[in-house]
Amino acid sequence: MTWTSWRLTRPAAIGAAALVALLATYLVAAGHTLRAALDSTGLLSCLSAGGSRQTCSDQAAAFYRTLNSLTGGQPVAAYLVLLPGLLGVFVGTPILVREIESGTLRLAWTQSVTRTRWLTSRLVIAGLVVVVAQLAITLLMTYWRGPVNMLDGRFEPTGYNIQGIVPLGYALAAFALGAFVGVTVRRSAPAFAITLAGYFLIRLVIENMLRGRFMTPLTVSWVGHAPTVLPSGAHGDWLMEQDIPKPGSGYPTVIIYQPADRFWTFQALELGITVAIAATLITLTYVWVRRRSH
Amino acid sequence: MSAPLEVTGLGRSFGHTWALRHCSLRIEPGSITALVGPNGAGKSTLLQLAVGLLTPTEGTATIFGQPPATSAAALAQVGYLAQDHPLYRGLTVGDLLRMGRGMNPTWDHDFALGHLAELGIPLSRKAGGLSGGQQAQVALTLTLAKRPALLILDEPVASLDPLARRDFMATVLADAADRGTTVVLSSHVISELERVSDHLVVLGSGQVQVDGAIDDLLDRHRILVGPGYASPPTGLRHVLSEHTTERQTTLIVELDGPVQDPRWTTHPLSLEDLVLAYLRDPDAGTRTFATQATGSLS
Repeated sequence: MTWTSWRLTRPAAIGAAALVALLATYLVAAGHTLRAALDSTGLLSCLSAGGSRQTCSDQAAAFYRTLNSLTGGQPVAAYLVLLPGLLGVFVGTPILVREIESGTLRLAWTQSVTRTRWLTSRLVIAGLVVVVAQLAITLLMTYWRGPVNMLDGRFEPTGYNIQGIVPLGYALAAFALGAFVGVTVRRSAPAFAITLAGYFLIRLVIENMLRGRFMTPLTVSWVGHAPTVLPSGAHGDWLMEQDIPKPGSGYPTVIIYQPADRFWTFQALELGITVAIAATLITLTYVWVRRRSH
Repeated sequence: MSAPLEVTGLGRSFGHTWALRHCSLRIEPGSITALVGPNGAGKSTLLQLAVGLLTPTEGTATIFGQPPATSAAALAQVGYLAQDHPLYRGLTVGDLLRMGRGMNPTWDHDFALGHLAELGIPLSRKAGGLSGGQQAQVALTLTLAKRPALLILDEPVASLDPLARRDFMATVLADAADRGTTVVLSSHVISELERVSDHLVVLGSGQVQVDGAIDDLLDRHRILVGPGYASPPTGLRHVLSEHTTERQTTLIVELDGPVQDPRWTTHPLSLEDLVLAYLRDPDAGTRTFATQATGSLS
């Protein structure tokens, strides 16, 4: 059964490997260039001498020019955010829907292997492909993003979404959603469409409605002279809201933020939520497969 | 010993439509049963219920006394071949055999290799690149190499040309002869199965119309020809059809003994005519035959 599952997952695994290889050629080269630019622009030495983004603004501007020339002005980080979901959807959805459509489920389910065992084998092998591919993708994205972290930190959304353990959670949620939608919708094209739409809905709800509330954000506010140490992206803080009034208006400047040391707590919570979603969907898939006919 | 396949009061509905209802029958060990009925009669539904691909809405199906598909051991006893001979088209024939070997503890690899070599089907070829007849043979090989005690074939030759049909049936019959496999195969054309089967089950409108040994059925049914407008002779169990003109009356009947009335002559009935007579008169079957099939004559 294990060999069969692997053989049936192989095309998806080859696709995932090709995706990783393609990403690697771009992200490793770009990450390398960015690291070199940190040095050549003098940004690294300026920052390590205790400079901030404001005091090193010339070097930072030069660094961003290099970044823009690499990305062609495209929001690459925003594209990279899509990868875990796409990976999960394209590995997870076909597992059941393709077998239903081609009638091969009737072949598979009349061998001397129970449906439950069959499903477990298929999900574990395909799930491993998703995990391995996603870990590789996360490593590549982290390498690429490293130099930018020095300026913007990794806690603000475009950094947070592509680093740490959160991408893996989203890949697994998309994978499980694909498997479940596949067995319920039973036709490929609508199954893929519904899975993609469902995945983005889950993502948007967590990212925009839940993430900011995982822990109560901190607030600093002042009138007149600013405190010496302010929360900043370069320190790894996530600046959620900044309210800067006109100078001399008498209103306080307010910064609402999540401090850098909460990064892994947030990542762990978000991984927990996405894995719980995945587990629920996988359980439903089992229930459906055991109950339903072919 | 439990029957290879026994169904009792079996029914399955899809939405508000019953595809099969009140179906009861018992398949004898070692028999080759033709399951015949028009398209939409519920043949595929019955066979899928039998192998556990469908779950019954009412009633039960058992395979050697066990509910189907509940355990690996129960699955290993049944070989099932779906109507469209599904295969993973992207896999080579060799891959498919390896799959069969990995998923069936009773797998007979030598048989599978030998049989495909005999048919000249190369192991390196992708299933999707084979002809329809070859695909059917590969699917059948996968089913037979499981070494099942019960073989269930759903419209196995419907999509095959006459030559492929003959080869396919030859493989099935050789297996049944060598290993005493019990076989149930369905078709909407009785002539396809008449030569190979010894039992007949006719399904019509989701119900069993006829169930019995073919020799016995042929023995019991006759065409009677008598004078015009004559009423049927006495001593008949059932009149299936009656066609009368001024000059003569033709009846298709089930006998209860020899016909004594000298005005009537009796003629043998072909199996195809018998099936058609029951299908045209659906109530006749359920009234008379369902009781007999499970009674003294079975």
